[in-house]
Amino acid sequence: MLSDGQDFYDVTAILAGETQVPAVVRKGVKGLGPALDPSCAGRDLPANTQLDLPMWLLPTMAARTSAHVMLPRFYGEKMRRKLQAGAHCEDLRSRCLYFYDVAEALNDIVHQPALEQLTMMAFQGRYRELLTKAHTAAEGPALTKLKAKLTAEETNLFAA
Amino acid sequence: MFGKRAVELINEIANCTPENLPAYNDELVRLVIEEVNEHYNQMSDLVRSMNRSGQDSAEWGMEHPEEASALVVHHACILRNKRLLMTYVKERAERIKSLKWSSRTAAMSIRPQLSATEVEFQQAYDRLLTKYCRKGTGVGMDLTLDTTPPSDPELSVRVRKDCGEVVLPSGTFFLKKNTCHIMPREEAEGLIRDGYVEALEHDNCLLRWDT
Repeated sequence: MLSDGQDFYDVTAILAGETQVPAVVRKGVKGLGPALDPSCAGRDLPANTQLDLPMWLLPTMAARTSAHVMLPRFYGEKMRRKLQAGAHCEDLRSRCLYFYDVAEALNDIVHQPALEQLTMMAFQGRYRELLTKAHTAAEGPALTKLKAKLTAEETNLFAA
Repeated sequence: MFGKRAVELINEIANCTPENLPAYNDELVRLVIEEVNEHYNQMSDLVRSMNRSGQDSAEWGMEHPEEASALVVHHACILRNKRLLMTYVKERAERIKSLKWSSRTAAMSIRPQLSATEVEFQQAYDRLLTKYCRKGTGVGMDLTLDTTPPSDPELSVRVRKDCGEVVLPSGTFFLKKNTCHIMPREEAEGLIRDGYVEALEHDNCLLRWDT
């Protein structure tokens, strides 16, 4: 996975590319059934199998219409409602450590405005808390609890 | 398959602090290269079957979509493994270089963690930097000192390890653990980087002063 402006040697981008994303493999894949899907019975992956694929594989497969990419659950309607209720309370770290990077990469593939709106809403809802606590909070259990909910991008912002 | 082993290499680097370096994982690098060869062999088999069919690639792809998808996946895996291996090597090289600038003792202490090629790289980099800093062949000053702009020509330091009597161009210092001294910045920087003393703000030194 190497989107525009991304450094080839960027360790964060490489690790974000390991995120598993649901997809439907439209055309089947010969000889790689068990390798791609451990539950696959035969040697070949049948057409229209739904499975989780790593992010880095998706741009190539989607470009050749070999796979139809779907949004992971942490970008779905349920998450939208939770973020609307209180974005700063949500533990995004446990959902997806690279929440924003993965969304940016997925946006290039799926082109859904709803995804862009959801990530903007998440960031806007959490940024104020992040900025306030970065300058005012003292080290302690409360700060540890806050940091435990931050994604990798938010953690870097917090540290800066 | 699919870069899982190569990601372990990247995780090793990512989980290590910037001042440290894990041991060069020769075995895992070898396994990743084997994986790349395996993908290449499987791709070659598919390409051979395409060539035997006598069709052009687009036509063959339309008639054999599963094989075409497999070709795409194998190719993507090779590129992924290549990227991860190159990142692993580059990241380690960058850390070797940065340790030369930040801490001389750390730069020496990581040598057992390096591969033979990395040791050669470290030595070549040391020679290059030394030559560049030398009078005559280079700029004539040690560029690894004063990496941040100094605000004061002198620095207060606290001794972290007993060093006994140390003779410096500015004078003789008896560096006993936990004593504080004021010394010229360029002399202090070398001792700080070697871990013998630590820099202080003037009002932080609560123990015995010695000049």
